[in-house]
Amino acid sequence: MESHKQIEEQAARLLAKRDSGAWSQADQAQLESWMGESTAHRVAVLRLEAAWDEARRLQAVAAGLRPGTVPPPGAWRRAPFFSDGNPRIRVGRLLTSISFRKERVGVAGRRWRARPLAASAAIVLAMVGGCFILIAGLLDRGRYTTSIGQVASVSLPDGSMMTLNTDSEARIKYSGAERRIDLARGEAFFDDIKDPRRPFVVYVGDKRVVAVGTAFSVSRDRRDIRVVVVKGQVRFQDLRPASARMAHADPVPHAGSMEPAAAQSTDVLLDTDTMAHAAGGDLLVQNISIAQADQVLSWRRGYLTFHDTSLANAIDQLNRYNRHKIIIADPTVAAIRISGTFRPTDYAAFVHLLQQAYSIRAASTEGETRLGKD
Amino acid sequence: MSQAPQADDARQSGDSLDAWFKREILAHEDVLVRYLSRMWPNRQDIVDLRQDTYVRVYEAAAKARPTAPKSFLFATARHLMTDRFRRQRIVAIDAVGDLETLNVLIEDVSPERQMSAHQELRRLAEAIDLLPLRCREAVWMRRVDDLPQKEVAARLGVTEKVIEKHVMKGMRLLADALARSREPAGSGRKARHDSETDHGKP
Repeated sequence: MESHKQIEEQAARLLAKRDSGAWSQADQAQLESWMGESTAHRVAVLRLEAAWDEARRLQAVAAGLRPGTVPPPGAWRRAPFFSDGNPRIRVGRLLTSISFRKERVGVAGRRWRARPLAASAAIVLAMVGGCFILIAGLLDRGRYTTSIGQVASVSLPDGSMMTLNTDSEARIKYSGAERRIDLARGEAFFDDIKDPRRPFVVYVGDKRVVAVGTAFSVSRDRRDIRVVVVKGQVRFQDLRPASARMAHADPVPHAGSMEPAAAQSTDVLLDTDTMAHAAGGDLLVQNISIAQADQVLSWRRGYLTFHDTSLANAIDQLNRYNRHKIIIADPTVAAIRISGTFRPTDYAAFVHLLQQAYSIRAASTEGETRLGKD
Repeated sequence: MSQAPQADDARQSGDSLDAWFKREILAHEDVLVRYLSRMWPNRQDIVDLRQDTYVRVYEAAAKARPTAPKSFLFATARHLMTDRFRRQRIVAIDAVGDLETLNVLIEDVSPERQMSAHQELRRLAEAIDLLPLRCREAVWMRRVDDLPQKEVAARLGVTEKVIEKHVMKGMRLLADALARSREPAGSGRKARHDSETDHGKP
């Protein structure tokens, strides 16, 4: 009688052949008849099949890795993805500075659906005398810019949608292995990202943001980077060498509930409805409400929405849309808080409203308007 | 439970016997193996016992699916061992006596197995790390990257046949590793409690 070991070996042989792709009807018939011979055969097949199927779930971990690059054993142990505890909130040193920072116009949205079932890039494999050359099919490149005050949507070569906010620049470089977007400046919102197997990666400064079936925005203002996730997840990765990251790390752990981990984090998984701010080695991740997401998204509809926002902050945002700059000459004016929805390019109307509602004096020249107290 | 369809209907309905078997029985392999290992004196028999248990459970379920699959699985394992104990006189009486504590053990090693998706992935990651390096690379590219076998072969500089062998070996090792790595790591799990719970009784 055959041993279970022999049975398992035969089951594995048949399944490996099936997995190889070269599987004929005759092969299928052979597998079925072999399984029908005895229950021992059948359960051996089921058991291996179950394990093999389960291994596929690792694709969730591999999102963003270039296919064909196998992470070394144990690599995941360092990834926060696998860290214990709740990784949603990570607070780094940036916390205090960020709460006083201007909120740049953000992007967000919902109702978008990623369509994961799209054809992946054609990879032509040529074998030449034992060597192989990979030729990436569909090599697409391009550069997209918006001028000051302009907001534009484009359909990228793979069908994904990109919306650029004012004064932004994104360079597209698609290869068979990766869809690379370099956000040179400004802000971009990405949606409807197809083909989950070819990583969709936004490089921004020394960070990269990898989409995992997602709608999300990325923006940069010099060193400061902001990511808003409204659907799916993204991986947020630090590209700088470890030495550079450690130089930014705090020597002492933070007190209380703050996690010191943020400064060392090189790879963080951001969930839906989160917003992450990063500068250098610091990262702040916060959960945001739908209303907040809507507010940071409003630029896509041609408006800026403020809710109890300081005038300084509001004007910072407005100025991104206009060559004509508004300058606050008096700090007490900067602290005024405003709410409302405004056309960002119509700065004149904005200034007029301010003059009506508050005792603010505006002095305009051709290039700028200075705001002060009456 | 209704009469189970014949085994070869595997691919047809959503809850075929095969699918049921994977979900309700094979999912407990880690606990089953630990249970068998504790009860049975010879390590080298464990795989046989495990597979024979599966055979019995599958054949019984083909006639009528048990309403409490996990209890049924362990009851079957216990009966199987008892049968063998009786046939093999060489086995010490102590071991047989141990069998009586079985019901406690089942409960103790298997608190409701509700792993988070997070833990499941970690478990998988650890299982795949146990594979030999080349085998691991081949398995990763096939299973995780979904690369065609031909391309994997080219990348690793070997023939397709070699990849197929890696896959063959990989799925066997993965099946074993998955069962092993599911064991509680000591923390985060409920401590063993020797309650008089009745699980495992037929």
